[in-house]
Amino acid sequence: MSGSVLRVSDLDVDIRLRRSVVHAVRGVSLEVAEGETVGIVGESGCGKSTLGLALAGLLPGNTTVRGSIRLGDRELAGLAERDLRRVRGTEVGIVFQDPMTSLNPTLRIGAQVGEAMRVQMGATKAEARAAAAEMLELVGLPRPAEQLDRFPHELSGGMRQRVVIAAALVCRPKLLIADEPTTALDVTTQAQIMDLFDRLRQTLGMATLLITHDMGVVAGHADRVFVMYAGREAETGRTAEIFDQPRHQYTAALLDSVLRLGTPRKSELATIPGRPPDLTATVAGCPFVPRCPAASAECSAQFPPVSGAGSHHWLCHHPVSQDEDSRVTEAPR
Amino acid sequence: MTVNLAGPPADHDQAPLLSLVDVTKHYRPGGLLARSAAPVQAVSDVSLDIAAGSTLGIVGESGCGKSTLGRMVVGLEKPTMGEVRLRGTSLSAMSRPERRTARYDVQMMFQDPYAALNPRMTLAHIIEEPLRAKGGLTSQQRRSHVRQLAEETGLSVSQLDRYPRELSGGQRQRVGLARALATSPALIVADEPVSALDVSVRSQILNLMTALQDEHQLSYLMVSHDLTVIHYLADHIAVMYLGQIVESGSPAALFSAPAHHYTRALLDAVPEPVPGRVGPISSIRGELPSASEPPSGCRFRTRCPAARARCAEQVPRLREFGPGHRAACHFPLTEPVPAPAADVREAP
Repeated sequence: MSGSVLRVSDLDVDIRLRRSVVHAVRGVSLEVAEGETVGIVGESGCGKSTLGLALAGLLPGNTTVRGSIRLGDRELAGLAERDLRRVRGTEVGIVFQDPMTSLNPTLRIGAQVGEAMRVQMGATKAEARAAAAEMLELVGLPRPAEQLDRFPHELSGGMRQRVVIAAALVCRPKLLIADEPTTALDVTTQAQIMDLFDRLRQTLGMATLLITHDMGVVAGHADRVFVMYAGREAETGRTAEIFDQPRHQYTAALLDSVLRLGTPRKSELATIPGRPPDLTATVAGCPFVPRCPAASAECSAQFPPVSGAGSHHWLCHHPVSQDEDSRVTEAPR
Repeated sequence: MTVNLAGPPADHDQAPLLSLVDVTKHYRPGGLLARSAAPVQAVSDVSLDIAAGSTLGIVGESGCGKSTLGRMVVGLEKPTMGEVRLRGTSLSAMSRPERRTARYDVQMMFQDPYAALNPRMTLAHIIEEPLRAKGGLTSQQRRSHVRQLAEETGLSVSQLDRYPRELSGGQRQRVGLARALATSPALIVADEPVSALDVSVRSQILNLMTALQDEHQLSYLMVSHDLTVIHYLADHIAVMYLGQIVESGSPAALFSAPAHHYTRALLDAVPEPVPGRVGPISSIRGELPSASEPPSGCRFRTRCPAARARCAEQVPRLREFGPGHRAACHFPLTEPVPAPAADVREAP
């Protein structure tokens, strides 16, 4: 893939607790190209947020990161905290779920949006203010010049999230990490914010990692999807490949359990039995075995190898067969 | 304003399980400016019925008044005007013992089960508490009832000695459901019961709610911003915007032929898990206006793609668009049923 902005190889993240170690991310490799959006999906506790924090360099002190994180042609793993902070402020932008907790309630919006410009890029107060106003306009805040002197509590949730996005993008980062950016918002606001991401991506050309549990949001806005289970990659492919021809049993189960407007009313809904595994334990085989309808002895004994070709890969001993699945139309390779 | 002019004496056998009659709730803002500030009109003139064994879904965005409505139904808030009737009797006209019975007849289930459960109580204790408050059972009877509730809601009896923090979100929501069921209510008000849950767990809880409804002839008042959840569970849907019902009807009517532009916008905004399919770019713009100074005329007009001069001048009334399907819009998306020449019942 040409123009790859982010290249992660064999990333492990361990979180040390008092009596145990959580293996939150295991052997993850992924790439994001310029202007591309990759959706990271999976249930709570699958490691998707930890992955985002690791890439943003925001993990707390009790964590160990192994593997390589290349942003452009620079290796971030092993970078000193001071250098990392600089990269974080200028080359990586981050948007979290709850805009109220990302904003400082005592600081005016202009100061918060322009902060990274001043601190990381040495801009003057006036330059930062001008950049902030420009950014607020870009994210669609009405009357941006007036908003600069307001406080976060004076804005609605949707407007606050626009401010957070403006602050994340003010230094024109190469990579934007958006962790559940619309989960706390109403549906119509969500649609507006996702529109905004699409538009900004075209205007600014940044690579985006969209971390979410909402398959609907991913389907509409990601170019590629990376499905995680138990801290590992389960399947990755173009959005259409994942949604139309899921091969990993977990991806298929996840998609089956999504409620749609077309789901027959009060019908028995498909579920995934059990719950995601405890990540302090290490298992030899596939971590999905206890919940998998197709698991065999082989699955418990050995972690599945990578299968597939081109853009579509899966790690499953018994992939969903393409013809038995009704939603599949055989696609030529 | 006359508040307690109760309607005609209700026929208790014919009356729906629960009705809201012209319910309005205003909040006076607190603080220094309390006197001069306009009240927040959280709910304005809402009338709704819930039949026994059925589900009423209330859908709308933050600040539309749907949660306030739910809180009035369980008696956590009192309407400023209008009344909430349980089996035909107004809650405000009930004697003390009647109100006590009513309280056990209508129970509530919250969005965030973690915040709703006492962290220092075991699950057994949490589920048992309403039974203890209601009285009339020996401790042994209560314990056996708790075990039965646990089984019914898919919790294992061995989990009953645990504390809420040891549970997953889905299990906590099961506890919330078991607790709500403890007093054998006729109606459960469920405020965003699955919106904090993962998709796979969400399906489990919805399956459970459907099964329990069948088994116990339960009614639900389901409050949610999620149209897919409302569509799945509700027999009748009311769409709220800024404290008012803008459209109500069966799921089939509302989803296949919505009359109100707000309902259409909500439907368009649902992210469907179909790759590449992004709905028509958010058809409504701007922000929810303040509930203390709602727009004149139609409250939705400031964000409506079809608004015209008349919308600012005249409040649209709910009109019939089909059997049980009503909407309040001057320029609806579908044709209303022609009104009868003279509507005698509407005489003041």
